[in-house]
Amino acid sequence: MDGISTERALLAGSISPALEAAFRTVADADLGGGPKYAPTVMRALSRTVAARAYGKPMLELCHLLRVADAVGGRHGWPALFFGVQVARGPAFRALIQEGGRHCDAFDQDFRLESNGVTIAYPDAPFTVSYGRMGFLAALLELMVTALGYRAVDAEIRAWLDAPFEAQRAATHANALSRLFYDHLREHLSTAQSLRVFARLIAFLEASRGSGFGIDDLDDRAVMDYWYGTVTAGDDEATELRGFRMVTERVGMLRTALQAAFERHAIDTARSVGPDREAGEADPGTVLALLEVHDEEADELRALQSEPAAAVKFLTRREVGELDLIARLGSHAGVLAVSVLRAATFGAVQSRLSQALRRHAPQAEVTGLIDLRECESYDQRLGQWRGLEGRLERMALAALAVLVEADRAEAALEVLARLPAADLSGLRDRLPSEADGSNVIALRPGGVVGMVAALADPKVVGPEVAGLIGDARKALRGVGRSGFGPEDRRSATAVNGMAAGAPLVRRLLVRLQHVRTAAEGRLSDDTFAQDTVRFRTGFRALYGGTA
Amino acid sequence: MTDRWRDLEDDGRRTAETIFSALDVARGLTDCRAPSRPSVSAIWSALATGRALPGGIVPDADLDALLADAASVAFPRQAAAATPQDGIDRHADGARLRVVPSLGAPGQSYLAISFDDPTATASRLIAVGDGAEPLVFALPPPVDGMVQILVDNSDPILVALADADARLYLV
Repeated sequence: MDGISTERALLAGSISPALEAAFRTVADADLGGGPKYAPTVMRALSRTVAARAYGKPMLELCHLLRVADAVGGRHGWPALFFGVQVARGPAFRALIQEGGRHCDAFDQDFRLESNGVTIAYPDAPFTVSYGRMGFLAALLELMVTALGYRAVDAEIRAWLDAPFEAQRAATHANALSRLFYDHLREHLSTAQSLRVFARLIAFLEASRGSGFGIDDLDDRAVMDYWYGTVTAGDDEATELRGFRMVTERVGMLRTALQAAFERHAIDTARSVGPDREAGEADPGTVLALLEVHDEEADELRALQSEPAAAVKFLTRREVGELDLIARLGSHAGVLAVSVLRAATFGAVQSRLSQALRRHAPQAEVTGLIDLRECESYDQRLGQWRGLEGRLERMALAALAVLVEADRAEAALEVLARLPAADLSGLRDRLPSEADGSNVIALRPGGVVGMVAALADPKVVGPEVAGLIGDARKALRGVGRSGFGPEDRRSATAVNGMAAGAPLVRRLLVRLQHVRTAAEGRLSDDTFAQDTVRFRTGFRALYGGTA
Repeated sequence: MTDRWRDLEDDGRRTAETIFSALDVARGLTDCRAPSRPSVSAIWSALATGRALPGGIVPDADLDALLADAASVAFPRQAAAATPQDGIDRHADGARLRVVPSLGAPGQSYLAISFDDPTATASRLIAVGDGAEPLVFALPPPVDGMVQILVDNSDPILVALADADARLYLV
């Protein structure tokens, strides 16, 4: 193994092959209706596992198990968790409603609410929301896959056999947590990650001094770290040798420092007391910080999850092109040149790694090391401009579909694009009970015909009407699944447009920001200088020929 | 608010370290490309809906436990091996399974399943031996609590039933 493959293996060394296989098995679960668990759910699960913050979810899971056991009939709790084809709120709601009809005592102990199921314990009722059930089911399936059905079922049966009291749930949730924790202690180590963290901090302290801050984690730091590591020939520093990997980890370090500084500021603002002295962040705090700082980078996964996944907004290649930008989230602009380098020289490094793994002819390897076919920055920037055009067409076409379907989200998209737009003309389309103020309530499934008036310049002005005209034109030119006249009649596709349009628009903004930031920082000879550095780095890593 | 590393005290640095490693591990989990196995829910769903079991199932005690919970009747291992020619007779709570050589059709045997509850039903007989994927045998609907099928003695299901270690499930 060489280069990036070795690096991946080393980094992956913090996760045992058994746990990797268990996680992948759950992520790939497909009962015939597409992926059972949405990519966003799996991402949330990975964060929860990584932060070891499953205490609260385990408590919710225990309560949901009560519901599952009641509606599962002869088969008990597995019927709901394993039987639901696609683990989404509506599917759980349907199964629970159906199962409840066949359970005589259901209405005594459970109440179906609009947003979830309430378990009417005599001591304290507890409600599990439908929206949360997909995540809880994924957590349970991961536990069963990793720990085995018997071990998990034994704990579950102990809970289900216990008296029907909410207060007892904590004991059994703790037992499940311990079971999982003990397994993860064997299969999930943070040693590799901590080593990478220590190396990056040591590099920054050595090169920028101990007064370094987030601003020092920039394109120069990425290049300096990568180049310094690969040309130093330090056999110990094998964790990070791929340029893209370094870029990602520097982005992560920015996130981590940002979270630490914020927490530090909050702690400092508090009076000194037990909270401050507690020191280490508890798992719940870690998870909360991860969610705040990492979730924004989930646009690509959200596009691949229901409801947006019903529409083909992006091709696989486009997803690949946007992947690093989406992962870096708000840090992508600061690391724009690194993103550009990763897309060009980093892509060559990836091909080099693959070539070495398959023992490609020396001439091919040499050609890659010497960067004979490396895409130039101008070419890549041109590709990005083309991608921006396609993203804009997708977002506009989705807007046209929303207008066509009279969905209020269309107005939200218009306001996102034209914040100064005056949509008060739409008020006249509201029914008479409207309050007459200049406030227009925008909600899905609003007033018939109201949204369609967005195309009328007499109602909304020429700028908004022009935007809708552009959107309709874009729609006529898009042939991807979900945009066709037949597709657009389905509520699923329209819901996909409503969910996906803002995501595509935000990805477009991120891409534009990265491209313009990179363009602003490049000089005429940046590519030539980088070519020399990457060639030297690749020769040091993979063996030179010149 | 400070934004210098040197201004972070030990707990702040530990927070940064913890967040970094959690991000790194979370990425590692979502990015891993390990080969997946048939999921528990795919196996359960196949049992519940009558679809074919997914390929690549590796029998183990957990699979047995799952099958036992999904099945209407689970036959434990039997004490000694038998052959279709000798006759196989296995008992479980809820049903009895016998293989009786056919007198009229040499080389063939009757596979007979009788349910204790005449209204009980099962659409498949699943045999799980060690080291092989489960064998699924479709059953016709029972008549008066009884299923009877004429099977060739070389049929894999009879070979599986003759295995004393095989666990049998009526699903």
